[in-house]
Amino acid sequence: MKYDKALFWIVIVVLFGLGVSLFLQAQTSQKKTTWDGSRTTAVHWLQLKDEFDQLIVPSDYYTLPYSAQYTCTPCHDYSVIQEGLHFNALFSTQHGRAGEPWIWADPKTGTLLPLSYRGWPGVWNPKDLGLTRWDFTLLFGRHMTGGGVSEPKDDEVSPESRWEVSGKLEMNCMGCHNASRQQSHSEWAKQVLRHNFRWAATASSGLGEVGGMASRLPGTWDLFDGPNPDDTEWAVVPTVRYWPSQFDSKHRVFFDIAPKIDDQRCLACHSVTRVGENRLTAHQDIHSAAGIGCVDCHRNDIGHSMTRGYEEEAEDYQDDKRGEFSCWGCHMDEDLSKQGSETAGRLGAPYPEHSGIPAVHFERLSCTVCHSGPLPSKESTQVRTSRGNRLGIYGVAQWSTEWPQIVEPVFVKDQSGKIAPHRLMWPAYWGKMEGENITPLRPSDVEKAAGRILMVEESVVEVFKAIALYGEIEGVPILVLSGNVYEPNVDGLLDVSKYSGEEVSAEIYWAIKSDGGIIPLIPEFDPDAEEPDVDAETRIQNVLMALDTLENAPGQPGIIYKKAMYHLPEGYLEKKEGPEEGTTTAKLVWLEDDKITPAVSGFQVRSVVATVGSEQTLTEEQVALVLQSLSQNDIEDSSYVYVSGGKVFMLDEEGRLTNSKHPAAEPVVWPLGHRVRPAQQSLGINGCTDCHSESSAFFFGTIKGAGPMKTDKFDKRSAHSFMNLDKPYQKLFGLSFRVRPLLKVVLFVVAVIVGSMLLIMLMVILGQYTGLFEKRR
Amino acid sequence: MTFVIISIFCLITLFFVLSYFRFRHSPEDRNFKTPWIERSKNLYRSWFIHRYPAKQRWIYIGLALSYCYLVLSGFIFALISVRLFGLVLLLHVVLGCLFSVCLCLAVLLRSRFYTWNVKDLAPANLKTKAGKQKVWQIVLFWIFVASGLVLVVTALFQMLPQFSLRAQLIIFEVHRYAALEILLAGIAFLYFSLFNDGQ
Repeated sequence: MKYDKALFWIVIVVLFGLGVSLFLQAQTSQKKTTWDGSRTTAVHWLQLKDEFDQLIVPSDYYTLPYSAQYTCTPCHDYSVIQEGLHFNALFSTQHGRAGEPWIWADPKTGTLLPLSYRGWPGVWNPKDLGLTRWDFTLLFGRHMTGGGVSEPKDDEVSPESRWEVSGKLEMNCMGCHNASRQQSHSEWAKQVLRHNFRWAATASSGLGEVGGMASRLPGTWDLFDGPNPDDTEWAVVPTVRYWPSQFDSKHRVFFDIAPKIDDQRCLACHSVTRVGENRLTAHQDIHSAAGIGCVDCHRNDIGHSMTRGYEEEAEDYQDDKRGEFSCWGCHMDEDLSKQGSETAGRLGAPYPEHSGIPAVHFERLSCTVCHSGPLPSKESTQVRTSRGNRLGIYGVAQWSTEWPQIVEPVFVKDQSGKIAPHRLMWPAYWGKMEGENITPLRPSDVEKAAGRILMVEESVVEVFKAIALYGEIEGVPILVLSGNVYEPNVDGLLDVSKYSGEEVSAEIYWAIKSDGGIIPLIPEFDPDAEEPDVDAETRIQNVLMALDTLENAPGQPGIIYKKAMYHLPEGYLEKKEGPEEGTTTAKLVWLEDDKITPAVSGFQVRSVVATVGSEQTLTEEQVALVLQSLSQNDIEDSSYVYVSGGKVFMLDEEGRLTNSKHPAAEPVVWPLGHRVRPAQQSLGINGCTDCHSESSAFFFGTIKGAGPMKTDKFDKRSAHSFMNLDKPYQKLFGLSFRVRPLLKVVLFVVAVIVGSMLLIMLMVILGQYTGLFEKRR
Repeated sequence: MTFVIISIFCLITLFFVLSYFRFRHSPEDRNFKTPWIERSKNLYRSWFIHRYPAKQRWIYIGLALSYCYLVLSGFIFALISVRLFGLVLLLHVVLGCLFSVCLCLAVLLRSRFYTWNVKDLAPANLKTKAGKQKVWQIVLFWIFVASGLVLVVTALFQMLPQFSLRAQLIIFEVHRYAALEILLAGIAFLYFSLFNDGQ
């Protein structure tokens, strides 16, 4: 009995202890996730911790980069923050309305694929294309916040990845929260490019200097291996050298944490600018101009679940508070209006009068239709976005890209049933067609199958390079084609400029560009002269020897000049009879048995002339050849297509390129919220005819398909089609506004007459009751 | 929704009130001997053809047709809680204009037949069926005209840029209730006109 009692009390004590510990644990975690109410920001003097949770001492020989996870975790719950909007694309179940997708742009293959893990309409899930988290991080890490996709757990890494070498790209807290002007997005992008993932946050925050490249290290390298003293030139192990002056005696560093995140931090990844817009005259969002920061509306708590600021957000995320931070929430708050206050919303936001605008507009249109983005024009405005066009990465090399071509505003009826302005991009990719389904091919697979078809510029540049290196010429070798000069640039491709020298009759004119102007590669001479021209023949020999160094040459090099042909049998210059038609300028050729092929083929000339200096990177001819090549390399005999400009291109039975419409070629759209314009610049400020006219840009503007292929076969749509509206009706409705002034006059006259008659009747009644009429009679 | 409920309630009430009037005051009509088509033709001739000059008839035809369309389009959309849109809206605007013009002409041409007279309200006059109906017709005619005026004015105001969204919403509500009023007045007026033995 005694034992039973003792056992009972032991159980009670154990249960009580368990309860107390659980309570304390809950309290502790609550402390980390709730706000104590103070509006100040803590001064962040912190000891840096590495990824093994070890203290970083800057004077150590081999210091590791700091880990946000272990440096910030004592006060901030890293796992809670991981669920935030910027990190949860992979595992979140609620993605809200569509946002800007990541765009996989590969100019060489003409690929522009919108990707997202969020399952938004029109985007491809990277997993479906075989892109691993490693691939995705390499492609887009430059503008990622770290964490989420780029921070896989140990059991989530793919075999071909190099996470062990590069480290994981942890959430870069300082990327957003650092108030220091030393925070460098460019440094972040460069470190990601070098696969220095674990070093990127340290380098970009300005805490230290990072050298070395993980991308050059062997896959077997491990962090514990440390630096390699035998290689200080090429495969240099990334190391960090902290600035000792930033540390105090307790090895603490001051983190300049902003009480309110600076707009610059957000704009590193969220800038949008019109193509061709001058910084001097660039427009600003009205809210930014008024001093309202991004985070004043796009708020979050420790969960980092950012408010996105659209009207249906509260419903989408099942969180009523989010509704307060939309346009409607601030400017047209119903609670405030019920109180009779029409003067101010949140933060004193003016309550709009919206005079003369029929209420139906507020049911069918989002606020942004009239107030955000550029005003609609006959052709949409092309913009560049940070993530799409790699903006905001500064250095000697140019990071920003022409593609993808994103246009705005395109007014689309979205899932909420309201029309809202969107950005639009036409996807472009090579695909495999199975039945009616098209699956995109990875650019690397296309490149492999296409061989040199897609390397036209590179092929020409190879010839230039050989001549420049071994041809002993003074100047830059160039090609004159179709009145243009083509010369190599620093990126290993071609630049084009207008040819202004003497008239050239030859289709291909090999020349040298020097300070003295443009001179022929082979100086003019008479090959049939009795006395040979030593200078000319020396140049011919040098050029031929230079061409002979090319690895992929299809034959022996030769030069045809006038009616003579020069070549190098067994290393000696030999002249023989050339083709009867002869040439006026030197023609570089390949000699293969009895076959003579030009050093730059007709196909290459056509491609160069069509694409160099143009936005497009592919010709129809190239596309047809690549499609042929893909089919020939495929053992399953599948059908291959190229999607561009809203059309699907494929080869017919006779090998001709045909095009058709297909859902897989549909453009991808996502709503835009900024640049917000004030009432004075809103759509409709000039009256109803801003939209309601028979030729308004709002309803009848044109959206043309755009893609990397140079063609006149692209999709072309009228703006109304994106709104699911009927064109004839909108034309008719627009026309009706021409007679509206007359209608107003008619109604006014009717109102005056009928009103007068009613007044007369009232007077009659009054006269009768007062007896005035009786007396008069 | 409130408007829909009020509209349905008003229409049902009007139906019962008129039915009551019909069977209370016209017991002699209960046992009809002529077929209803024949009676309708007679009514059409006596009430429309013989009553109005040929040119004026077009005004009333225009008024009646536009009234029917405006009522149907407006109330059907109101009943399903959807704002007018598309061609229906466009026609509503066009026929609204026609209605206003016809109403104006009708008022100019017909108001002298519906002039208020104190003598009509004399107790002796009100005791007769014809007297009562005459009074009802005058009252309903002017209610119809007043509602028409409100409809015209609110339609005009909705097209002017001087009114804020809040004002627009109020104007729209006024337009809807004026439309309900003109519907009820129109039905009642028609009743008292068609079944008035004195006219």
